[in-house]
Amino acid sequence: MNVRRRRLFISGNLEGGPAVWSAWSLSSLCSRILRRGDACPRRLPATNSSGGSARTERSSSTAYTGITGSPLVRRCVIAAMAAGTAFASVAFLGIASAPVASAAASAPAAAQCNPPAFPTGAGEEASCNIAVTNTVTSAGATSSTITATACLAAAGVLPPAGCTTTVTTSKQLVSSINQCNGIVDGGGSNVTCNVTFANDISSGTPTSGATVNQCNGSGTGGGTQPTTVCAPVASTTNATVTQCNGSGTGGGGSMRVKCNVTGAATALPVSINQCNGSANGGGSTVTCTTRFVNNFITSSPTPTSTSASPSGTGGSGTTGTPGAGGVTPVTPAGSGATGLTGSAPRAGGPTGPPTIVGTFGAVPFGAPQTGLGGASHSRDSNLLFAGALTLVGAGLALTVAIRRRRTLSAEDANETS
Amino acid sequence: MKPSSWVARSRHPARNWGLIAGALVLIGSGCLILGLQEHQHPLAGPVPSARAPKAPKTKEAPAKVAILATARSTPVELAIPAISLTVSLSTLGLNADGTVQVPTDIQQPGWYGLGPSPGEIGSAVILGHVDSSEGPAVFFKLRSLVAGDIVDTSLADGVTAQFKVTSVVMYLKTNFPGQAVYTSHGYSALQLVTCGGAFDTQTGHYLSNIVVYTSLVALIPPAAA
Repeated sequence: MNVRRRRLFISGNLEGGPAVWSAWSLSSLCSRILRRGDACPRRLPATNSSGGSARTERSSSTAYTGITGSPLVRRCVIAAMAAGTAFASVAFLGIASAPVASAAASAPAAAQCNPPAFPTGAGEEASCNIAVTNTVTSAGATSSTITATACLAAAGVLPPAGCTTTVTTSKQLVSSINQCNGIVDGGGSNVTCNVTFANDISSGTPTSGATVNQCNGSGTGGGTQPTTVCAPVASTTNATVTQCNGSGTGGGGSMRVKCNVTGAATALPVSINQCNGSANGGGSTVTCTTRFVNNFITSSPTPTSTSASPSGTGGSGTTGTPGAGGVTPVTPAGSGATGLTGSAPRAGGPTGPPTIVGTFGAVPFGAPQTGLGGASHSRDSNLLFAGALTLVGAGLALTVAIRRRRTLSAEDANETS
Repeated sequence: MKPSSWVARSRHPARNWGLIAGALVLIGSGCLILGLQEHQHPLAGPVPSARAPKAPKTKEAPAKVAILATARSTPVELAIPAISLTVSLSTLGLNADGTVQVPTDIQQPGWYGLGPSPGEIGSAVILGHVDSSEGPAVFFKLRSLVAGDIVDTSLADGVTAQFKVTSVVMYLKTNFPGQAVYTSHGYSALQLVTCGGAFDTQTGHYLSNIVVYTSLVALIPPAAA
C-alpha cells in the first residue's frame, strides 16, 4: 500500500511520468518478487507505463530463472539501472527535441487565395497581396522571403478587415506564384490581387523580358465598353505572367477588369498566375497587378540610420489636397515631425503604384532584443524537490538495509558458532 | 549453501531495502539532473486568427475610407483590454550601433520616439519586453492578440488614439522586416514589438520577434476620453 502511494506521488509530480513510473514499477516488482522468494525475469519486459507486460511475464513459470543468490540481486540492480538509463534517455531526448518555433521552411512556390481556402460564391471582397523577394548574393547563396496577405470579407468591406499575413523564408528561390484563381464567381464580388516579385541580385546579372498573357476572354457578358483596361494586352503562350484571363465575364460595369504588368524584366525566372477564371458573376470587378523589381547590389549593404529629432520641431510636412470624391485627410495641427503628412490619392487618378505617405523616421538596424528568457528558460523547482526527497528516502532505505544486513550477519555467525 | 538457507536470507528485508535504496538513488538522480537543466520552452507564436467575421451585407455603397490622423504628441499610456494591460510608456531612441533601444524597465514598454507618434500618418512603434530572467514581462501576452483587438494609446495632448489589430506576425530576427515595421504604409499605424519563439541559450536572446500590426480606427478627444 505504501509502495502504491509513493508511486502515485512521484509520477504525479514529475515530468516524463511514464518513464519514471516504469523504472519505479520495475524495481518495486523486483522487490516484491524477492519478498516472495522468486527471481527477476530472465528477460525483462519492455518498459511500459501500464506495467501489464511485467505482470504477464511474471505469470509464466518458464520465464524465470532458478533460485540463486547474489546473481539475483545483480540482475535486479541491472534492471533498475537499465530502467533508470532509459528514463534518463527519454527525458533527455524529450528536452533535446523541443520544438523550435519559426523554423525556416522551404518555399519554392507561393500560393494563396485559391479554392478551397477562398470561396467561389457571391458577394465577397477578396484582396490578396503577395510580395516575393528572391536574393542571390555575389557568392551564389540564395534565399527568399514571401510576405503574403490574404483578406476576405463581404463585398465592400475593404482591408485591413479580414486580413491574415504570413511571412515565409527559405533558402530556395521562389519560382512560382499562384493566387486569386477561380474564386468568387457568384456575382457582386470584387477581386483585388497584387504580386510584387523582387530580385535582389548582384550587379551584372542579366535580365530577360517578362512575357505576358493577360485579359484574354475577360470582361465579357455585357456592359459599357471598355470593360477591360489592361496593359499590356498580350497573349503569349507559357508567359512569365498569366493573369486576368477568363475573368469578369458575368457582365457589369465599365472597366471592371483592370490588370497590368510593370517592370517587364526579371533577372530570375518565375511563373506568375493570378486572377484567372475569377469574379465571373454579374457586377463583379477584377483588379490585378504584377510588378517586377530588380535590385542590383554591388556589395553587402551597410546599415545606415539617419537621426531624427523626436521633439517634433523638425520641418513641417507637406499637406496634400484630396481630389474630388477622394478621401479627406485630417490635417495635423501644431508642429509636425519631419516628412510628408496627409496626402491622399485622387479618385479616378492614375492606376500606378500608390504613393506611400506619412511621417518617416530613422529605421533602426536589426531586430530589437526584447526578451531574456525568464519565462521560457527556467529550472524546475518541482523536479528538484522531488529529486531531493527521493535521495533522502534512498539514504534512509540504505541505512535500514545496512542495519538489517548486520543483524543477519550476526545471526549467521551465531548459527555457525 | 543450502537452498533453505538462501530462502531464509531472501526473506530478510535487508536486500529489499537495498534494492529500494538503489532505485531511489536512480530516480532521485534523474530528477535532479532534469531539474537542474534549464528548460527551454519556445514561446508560442501568434494565435492563428480564424477568418474574420463578415460584415453584415447591405446594399449600400461602401463607405468612403477616411485617413485618420492627429498631430504629433508623445504617447504616455498604452492600454490593451484584451490582455488586461494598462501601462505608462517611456521614450526610446537609437543605440550607437543603429539598433533600437529597448526599455530598461521590463514592465514598461517604450515608444520609439524617432518615428511617428501614435495617430500620425506613418508607423508608430512601441517596444516591450516579453520576459526577463525573472519571469514574464509587460508584453508576455502580446502574442495572444488577434485581429480585431483594440489598442488604446493616450497622448500627452489628451487625445486617445484607438487602434485595431490587423495581424500578428512572428519573424525570425535574422529576417526582421525593419521597413515594414517602421516605415509608413500610407495610414496611421501602430506596431507593437516584442520577442518570441525559441530561446537561444548561447546568446541569451530569443530567435524571433512578434509584431502586432494595428491601424488607427478612432481618435477620442480629451473630453470623451
